[in-house]
Amino acid sequence: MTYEEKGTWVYLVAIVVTFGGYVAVLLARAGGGPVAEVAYVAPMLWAIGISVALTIVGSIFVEVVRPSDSTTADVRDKEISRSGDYVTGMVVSVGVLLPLGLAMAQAEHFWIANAIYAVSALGAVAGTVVKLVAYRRGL
Amino acid sequence: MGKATRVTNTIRTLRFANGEMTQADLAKRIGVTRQTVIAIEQGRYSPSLEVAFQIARVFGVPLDDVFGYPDAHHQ
Repeated sequence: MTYEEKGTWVYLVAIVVTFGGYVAVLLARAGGGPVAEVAYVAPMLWAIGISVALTIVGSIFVEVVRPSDSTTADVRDKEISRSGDYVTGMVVSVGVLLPLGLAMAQAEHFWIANAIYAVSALGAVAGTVVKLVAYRRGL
Repeated sequence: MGKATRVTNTIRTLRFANGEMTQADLAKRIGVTRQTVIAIEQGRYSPSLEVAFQIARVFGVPLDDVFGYPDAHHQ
């Protein structure tokens, strides 16, 4: 597994774990009540911050445990990265219609912010999965 | 895992014919990762024209001796 592929796996895990954790915290705080009334800003900022930190620390940890031959992306890594980023862009550009619609409908900030976060996470997951499939099965 | 490309290659044979060159050695000489050489050998990645020429140059053979593109009717 190349340095880039390992990093992609770490990124996927970080996104899924932090977004899942964020949703779990919101639901726990809501305690069966209306979720839109939960203070979401701090948990969201923590989730985003932890996902960044987890990606960096996780990548370092993986390299320590299983060092790569090279830490430089080659032509195949770059092509795979581009194909994944394209899918992320597609998902986000279509998904952004959701928070846009919510804003136009004057929905609560809670729903708009969470729609943006969810679409971003979904785009990241979709792009990452495409990259991993390309690494395993080919471009 | 299914093949992602119809491009065939004889890299494995050429490596062994050239002093049992390892995938790591070949990767180093053409400036890619060992995993990319493995992916090319297994037909999971079709290399760029530049990388293809670099591979052929390492073995000192024409491009056609390394890569092939079989006619779809003969598959």
